[in-house]
Amino acid sequence: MKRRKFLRGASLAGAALPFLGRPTLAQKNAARTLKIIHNGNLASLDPIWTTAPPTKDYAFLTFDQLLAVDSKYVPHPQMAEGWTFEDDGRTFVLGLREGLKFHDGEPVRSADCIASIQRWGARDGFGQLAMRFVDTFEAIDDRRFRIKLKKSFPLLPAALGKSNSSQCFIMPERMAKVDPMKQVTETIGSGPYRFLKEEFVSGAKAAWAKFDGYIPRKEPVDSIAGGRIPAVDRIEWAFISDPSTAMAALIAGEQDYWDAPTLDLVPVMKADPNIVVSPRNPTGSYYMLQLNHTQPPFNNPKVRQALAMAIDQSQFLKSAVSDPALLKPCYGYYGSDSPYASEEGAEILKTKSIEKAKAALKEAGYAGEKVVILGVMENPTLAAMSQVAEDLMRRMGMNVQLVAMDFATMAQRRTSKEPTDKGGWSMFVTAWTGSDIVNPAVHQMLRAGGPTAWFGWPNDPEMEALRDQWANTATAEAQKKPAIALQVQAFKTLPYIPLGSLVSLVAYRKNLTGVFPCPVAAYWNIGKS
Amino acid sequence: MRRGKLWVGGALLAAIVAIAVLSPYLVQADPRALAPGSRLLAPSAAHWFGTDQLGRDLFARVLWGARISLFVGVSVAVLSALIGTAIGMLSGSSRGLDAIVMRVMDGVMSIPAILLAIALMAVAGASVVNVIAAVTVVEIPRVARLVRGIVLSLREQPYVEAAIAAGTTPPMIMIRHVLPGVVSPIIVQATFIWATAMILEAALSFIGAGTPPSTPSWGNLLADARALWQIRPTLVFFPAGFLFVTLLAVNMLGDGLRDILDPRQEPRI
Amino acid sequence: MLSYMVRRLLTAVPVMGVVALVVFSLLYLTPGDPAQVLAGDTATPEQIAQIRAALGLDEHAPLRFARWLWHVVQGDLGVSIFSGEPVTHMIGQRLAPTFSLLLLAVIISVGIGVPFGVAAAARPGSWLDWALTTFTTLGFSLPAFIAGYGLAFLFATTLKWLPVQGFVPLSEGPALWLRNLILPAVTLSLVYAAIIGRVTRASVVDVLSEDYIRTARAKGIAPRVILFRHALKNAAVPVVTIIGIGAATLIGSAVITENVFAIPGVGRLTVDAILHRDYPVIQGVVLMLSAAYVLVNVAVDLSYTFLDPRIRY
Repeated sequence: MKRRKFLRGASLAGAALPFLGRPTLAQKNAARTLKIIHNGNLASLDPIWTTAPPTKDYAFLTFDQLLAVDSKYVPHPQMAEGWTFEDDGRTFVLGLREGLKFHDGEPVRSADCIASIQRWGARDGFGQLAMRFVDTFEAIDDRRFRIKLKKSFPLLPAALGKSNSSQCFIMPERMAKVDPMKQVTETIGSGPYRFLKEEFVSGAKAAWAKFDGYIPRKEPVDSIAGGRIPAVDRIEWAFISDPSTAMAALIAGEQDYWDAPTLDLVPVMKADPNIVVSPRNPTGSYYMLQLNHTQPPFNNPKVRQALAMAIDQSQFLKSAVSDPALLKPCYGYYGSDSPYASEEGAEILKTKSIEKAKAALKEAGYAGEKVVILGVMENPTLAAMSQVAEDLMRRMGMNVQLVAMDFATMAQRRTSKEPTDKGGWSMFVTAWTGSDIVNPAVHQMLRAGGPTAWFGWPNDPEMEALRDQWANTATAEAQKKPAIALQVQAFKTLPYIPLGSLVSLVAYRKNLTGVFPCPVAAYWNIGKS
Repeated sequence: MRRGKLWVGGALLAAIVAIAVLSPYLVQADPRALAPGSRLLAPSAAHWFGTDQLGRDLFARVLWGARISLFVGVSVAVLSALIGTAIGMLSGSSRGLDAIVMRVMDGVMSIPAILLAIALMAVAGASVVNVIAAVTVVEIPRVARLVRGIVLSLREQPYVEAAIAAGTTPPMIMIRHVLPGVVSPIIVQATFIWATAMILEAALSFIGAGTPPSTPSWGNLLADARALWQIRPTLVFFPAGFLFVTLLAVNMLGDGLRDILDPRQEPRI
Repeated sequence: MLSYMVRRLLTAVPVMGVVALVVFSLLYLTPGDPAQVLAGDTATPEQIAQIRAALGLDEHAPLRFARWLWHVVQGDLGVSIFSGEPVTHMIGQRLAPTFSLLLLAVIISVGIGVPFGVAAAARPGSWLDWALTTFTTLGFSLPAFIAGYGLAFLFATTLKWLPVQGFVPLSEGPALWLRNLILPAVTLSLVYAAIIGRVTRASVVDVLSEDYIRTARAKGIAPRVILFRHALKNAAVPVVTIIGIGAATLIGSAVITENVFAIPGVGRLTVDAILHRDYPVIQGVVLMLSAAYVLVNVAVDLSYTFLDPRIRY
């Protein structure tokens, strides 16, 4: 009796499911809301304090920049009306556009810009380099200011307008005066969208409303330059970490845009007529095998070169995705969209022969020293490539061990300069974006100053000299030569081994308009029809 | 029917154990051999279950995976059942101890298994032993609480009072009179723990704190397949299928064992 | 009984203190610190050192612990290293989704598991008993994420009856709230209902073989009366224990379900915090969890005295 009643009740309940109430007007104008599945939790709201990508994406919506580079990395005015160099390039004068306002209604003033530049210059690498050239800042009036330089620094506009972290975002003076080692807590910027702090749940939900006081430029968008038109009334971010769920949500129409779809799921989305999959970020992700230059066996350049001979980039790239259109080998130390992209010096990386590598290894005097690979398992692509690396070195006859760990553990362990049996390491796989490796100033892994270099600590005075030469060369044309010479030298020293690149795709519903190519996740200009 | 469960469950489990033990002879393919060029292939004559995302033969990995998964499941179930029962009985037998021991158990339960697993893995490297240790520690309090609850109620039974009156020492009472009453729920709980352990192992593999990636285990395979099941469902289907059959067998075996150990069966109203 | 409750709650305090210490020590021993995670993969060693100094992570560990403890006693759980928000605020935001999910899951599991278990125990060997075994085994052996994917695929993607993911607060309407919670709650309750069903069945079967039941039967008392008046209360202790233990276990399983269905709950907060080594959040959440377990266990222990008057404290 009980059972029958129960079964009857259950089937009634089941039949009632479809009628449980479709979301109706609780949607706050779904038609004008852009719902984005964002990759990576948004935690910190201070783009100067942290380089975390979600914070950068937040900042591009909430704040604005004085200058912005286009797809050829040429800086253009953004908040600025224009700029000039005077005094043989020793004075930089910039004027702001008319009518620029912050989200609290206050106008943007020179003082705000100066304080923001100073805060940015305290933390960012390129910014720190720029600050070394700066003598003083002077506000001429509320809309114009002047930067006096100790020496000519033609790269200043490129620094101010750069597209990779940390970008120089303009904040109100009171926010910019916050100690760069502490986080700002306010969210007032002058960008096309206004952050709705009251709706923010860190790691769960973030929302913006269109800023009516924003005056976009008239030019069409070209990378981060051009008019940043807020084309929807509201933007919402959802953080869905499970790829299957994210895809299902996109297909069901619960979300409009997925900014980092799992590459293997792309065929399913491409088959859906309502979904567009396209490479929005032309720069892609570049993968690298970082080596420890301070410990055996990779402290021996000949062993590094032997490894480079065995590496076949396509094997590494194929471990992440089957579709050949999505993988692009890159035999160079700069991204393929960099002005310095070339394959000069890359012959060693094109050898692709385990036999030759084994012979070279013997010649190098490799005596079975243990290779410890730090394998980060949270990221499936890095995990796959770490396993390919382990497999490759084993076939080369090296004594290799892959240690699986989470990112935080890896971040800790790679600071160790100890031998591998004392908690040290020999290699790990890492990924950077194209804009991170576009020139010797931003490219951290081309620094070869030994202890001052990035993890791995390559030490090559020749490379450092070439880098300085590049920084001090006056014209863009002339800079090509030292940049390429730097690459040729890098192929001898092998600070790291390039593994090629994977195309970055985004997936979005067909009814979105204005999605434009861009190296960062920029959500302006995108509307819903 | 009563004995049927025991035989069917036992036979199934024996078959799976046999597969696990004999896996090196049953498969020719190396479960660790990578072949990125032939990843995510459908089942075929060359690869009976297809290949995974690194081109490894899935059939080989599923069969070899039986070893690790069974080992993890059994170890955790047995260890936590034994230790948990001991603690629970100790706690239930004495009021003073009860207060202290149960507070300790409360404390241990609050520590998330994931934190424990990551800490162990970070300190000692990802390994099967770490997974077993982390999951066992987390399961012990649950067994202890269950046992203690039962001991508390059994303690008041007339036959226990009689035993006390007859002069049986407390340890003998525990062992002779209380323990049999505990066995039945513990067996049920142990089978549940076996299942939980195998599944927790998969969850830990998601974040890299589980079995090392090249070593196949069903949990590992499921974690890897999690994003890919819509394009290659076999990646989930086969390991999940084996997992399901194993757990079915364990459950049936557990039921059958209980039926034998507990002579008071087949009551009908 | 009141004094018992007070005693229990008082002794909870040192327990929570010890738990906090253990977790702190675990975190201390675990490699990786928030400065490195914050700085990200592409940071330089100097940047990391700067951040570490700014966060006060260079401080002597016992000092850090003592300071944290001092703040906790005053009700301040500190501030998240990653977001800068107060930990109490962060946990508070996440409590509603997790609590809703757990509540619904408990209701479903107990509502299905107990009646099913009792019915199966009353008719051992019948098809009902067999059905219980099968369904409970299904429940055990299906990992939550597979069940979750399967349910989502069937009811959300294919039939389109329910949403794929997300959480809607109760304040926006009970129908919407329920609609978003059904699939995750069912996923979560599968295992739980299975274990409750089995333990209920095992426990009722045990009780039904007692002598006093045989006596009752011999006296000619109706089967249903025997079941409900005599058997169930005595069988209740293991069942209630399991419900209590399970409620605690659910929090762990909720992590996976919250992940699959993108529910912004405490489970996800905990995993993210652990992976990021966001110490204040980890410590705050574990402290809160231990308080929750203590409360649940006190409730369970107290219920024993109602169910079985022979149990005294």
